[in-house]
Amino acid sequence: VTKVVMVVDDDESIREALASVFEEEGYTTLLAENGRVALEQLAVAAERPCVIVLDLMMPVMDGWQFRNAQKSSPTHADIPVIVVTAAGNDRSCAIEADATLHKPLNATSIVRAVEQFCGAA
Amino acid sequence: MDDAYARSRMKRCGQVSAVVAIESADYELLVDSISDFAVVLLDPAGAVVTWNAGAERIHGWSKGEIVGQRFSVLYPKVEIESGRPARDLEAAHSSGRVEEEGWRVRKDGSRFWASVVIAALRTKRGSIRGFAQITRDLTDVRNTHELRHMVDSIRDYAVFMLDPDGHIVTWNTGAQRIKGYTREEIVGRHMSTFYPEPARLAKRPQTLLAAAARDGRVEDEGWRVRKDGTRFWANVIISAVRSDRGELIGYTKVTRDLTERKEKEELARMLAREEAARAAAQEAEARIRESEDRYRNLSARLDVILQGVADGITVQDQSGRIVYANDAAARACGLSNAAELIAASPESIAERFELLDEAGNPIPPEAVPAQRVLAGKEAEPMTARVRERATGREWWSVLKSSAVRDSAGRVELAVNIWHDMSPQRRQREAERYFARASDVLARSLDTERTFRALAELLVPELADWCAVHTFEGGVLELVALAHRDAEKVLLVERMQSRYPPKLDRSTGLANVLRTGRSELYSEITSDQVTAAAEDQQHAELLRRLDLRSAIMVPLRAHGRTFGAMTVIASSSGRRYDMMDLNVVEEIARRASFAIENARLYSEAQRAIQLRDEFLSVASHELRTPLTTLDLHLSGVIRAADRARLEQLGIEKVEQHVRKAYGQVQRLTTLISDLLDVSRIVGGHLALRPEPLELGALAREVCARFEDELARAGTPIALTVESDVFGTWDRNRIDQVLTNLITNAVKYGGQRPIEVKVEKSASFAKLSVRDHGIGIRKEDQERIFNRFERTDAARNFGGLGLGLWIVRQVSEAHGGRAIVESEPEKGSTFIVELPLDPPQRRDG
Repeated sequence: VTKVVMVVDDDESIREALASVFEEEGYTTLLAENGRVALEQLAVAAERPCVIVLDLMMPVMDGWQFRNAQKSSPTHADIPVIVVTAAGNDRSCAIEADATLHKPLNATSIVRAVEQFCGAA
Repeated sequence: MDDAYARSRMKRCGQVSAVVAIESADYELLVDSISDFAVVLLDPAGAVVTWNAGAERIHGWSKGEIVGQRFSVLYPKVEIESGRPARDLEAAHSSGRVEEEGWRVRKDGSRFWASVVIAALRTKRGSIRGFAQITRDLTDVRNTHELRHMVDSIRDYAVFMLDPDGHIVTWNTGAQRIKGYTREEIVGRHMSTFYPEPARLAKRPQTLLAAAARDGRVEDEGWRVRKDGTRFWANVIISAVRSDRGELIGYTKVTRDLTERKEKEELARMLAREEAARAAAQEAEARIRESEDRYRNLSARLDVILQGVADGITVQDQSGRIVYANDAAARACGLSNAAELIAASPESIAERFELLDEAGNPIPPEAVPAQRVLAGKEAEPMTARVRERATGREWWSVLKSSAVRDSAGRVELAVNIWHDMSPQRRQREAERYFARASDVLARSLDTERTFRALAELLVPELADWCAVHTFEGGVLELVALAHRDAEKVLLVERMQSRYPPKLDRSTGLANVLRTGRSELYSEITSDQVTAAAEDQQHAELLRRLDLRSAIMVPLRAHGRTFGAMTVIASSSGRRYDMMDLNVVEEIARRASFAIENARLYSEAQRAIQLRDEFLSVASHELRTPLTTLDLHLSGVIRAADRARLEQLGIEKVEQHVRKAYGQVQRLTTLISDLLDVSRIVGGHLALRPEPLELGALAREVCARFEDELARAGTPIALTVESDVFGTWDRNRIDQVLTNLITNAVKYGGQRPIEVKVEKSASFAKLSVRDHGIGIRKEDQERIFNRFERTDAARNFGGLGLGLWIVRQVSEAHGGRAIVESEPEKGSTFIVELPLDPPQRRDG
């Protein structure tokens, strides 16, 4: 049974890059380009992610909106969230996150953060 | 000669003759001793024979000296020469006796008046034996006589004697003449007869007599009464006469009739008085004439001076009537000359004007200096706004009034000076407006507030209402309105919304906005209002707004008219002139600056905000490819570090490297866009135009998007109507199309994108249509600005430079870029490029 890491980011290249890094570490990834898609995928996912790597600025449903929706969900509220943002500290502070990483980020730091919540793959 | 006196003398002489006739020796001794008479015997020839003591005393010769001499030596020389002595002897010889009075001479040659009797002495036979001559010295007698004679003969004086009681004793000719009484009538009567009743009753005669008795003499002048009752002016001297023993014997009274003199004096006095009066009158007349002349001269000169004075000068009498005015005063009252003003009634003049104080309150008539002065009060100079009721014309005057008082100190005239302060006053007022304008306009950098302050600035002092319009992008908008009567604001707003100013008019607001020039409507007639009205209701609204005078000035900045200010006078009746226009223009100029400043400030603020936002966006946009780049490269390095490269496999490594490279390209594009910003802003967007067929270029770009679009599931359709040739910068047009398609993909919601290349008479048309979220009307212009993104687009990422670059490039080619859009239905971006651009903009 592989551990699932969910990646929510509107930038396709970032989703792909993160997916490559996590998969190379042995995780399974669940990708979404915005908050709404992420909520839909969580609802239907066979495996519950051990962590959600969340971008903040996204069209349709941004990171804050997603986080609020997720916290009010009885089934997914307890999934830890790692916020990955290109914005400054001020805006990212306004979200209740289990960890926050600032872009640009490298593979080692994001993998370490994920391992903190999921353990090694 | 007095008869009684003569008779008494004759008797005495007769007595002497009898004595001489006695021939006796005893008589010789007797004769000799007589000293009172000179008794002399003469021989028949006239020689002196005897000489008695009396002869020696009277004649001065001694007996021895004279005896033997001829008696003629006793005669004065003239008598001797005339043969008088011989004639006397002959007469005595022939008639026996001669008696005469006449002058004789003493031995010492002095004369004396003598009474002489010569008697012939005859023998018994009758022959002459000699003559007896008896001589008496009559000098004293003569003196008395002469005095009597003299006194009697005095006609000019009344000389008479009074007894000690004042009864009249003697009377003379003068007394008779002066007083009219004869001697018989008056002697024995009292002197008071001559006094007028009042003096008599006052015992004036008695008083005078007492004074004369006391002092010896008294002099008096006064009226006396004649016998016939007429009066004469008398000078009276009364002297007391006393005996040797000092007893008062009586009084002499000399009265002179001074009536004539008195009358003369009186006449002279009267004449003198008359003369003096006439002289005084003449002098006075001369003085009056002189002063009249001077006054006339002065008055004429003053009039010339006063007519030349710019101040209005009037002189009012007690009733308030104007008795003098200069032309300036007449002009100020709307009359053509001073005569008209003087002819007008004070009421009719007062009715024409209204006096207002500095706060605009009416000044009561009794407070006006002229009225105060006429009421006898002090009057300070007063500054007043004078408003002509009929025309609404206004000006500032300083009213000064001073009193001209008569000799009793009563106010006779009020002299009023109306100093027209308008130019200075209005200048000051204008400066106050300017200062206030600078103050309120600088207070806010918020244009809306500035417009409001501007509208309120001149109300109510200069304007009854004021409207400010803006004219931006062909849209006229009433942005501020102030009215002295708050209720009228609604009326104006209603009219403005129902009958907005027509922009196609050749006058009024439309003209001001079009030409940027001010308009002054000094006097708005009801005909003009009717003509301007669009319909009956509009005319009614305008009529209720009571437009009298108006000024419209443009609000301009950088040579561009962005609005207008309308200043209106209604119920105040004010009538605007060039000076008001200048004031309003100056205020508009300052307001324009303030508004422009506010606009620039808000633009600057917005630019700063946009730049900050852009920096944050740029940083975000740069971080995204950098993140990807980092992840790919750090992923490879991580594998290498853990010696898992081989486990990863060459294909994965290659994939990481390619993706990393892709991000490097993406970064390059971003940085190139950023460079474009500084290039375009700095004016360095250099085009490299070349002959180009637009359809071919469009096909090329679309092909580049094919893979990406296919993955995203977004269909794209390209329509090229015909070959469209032109001379354009290939790379820049490529960039334009790329940006438009990128946006269409980004915001198109994966719905079909239509790209179309068309051609019209003069330009090529390139359009990209999506069916996405669309753009609200109010955002359509904004999205072409630098760093601008709609709120909806904010989360889509990107620098917000795409459309701005599209527009800048299009315009640099002499074309344009526009958008047609409806929210939720999609947008069509259209770029028009000149087919054969006659001139390029090379930045």
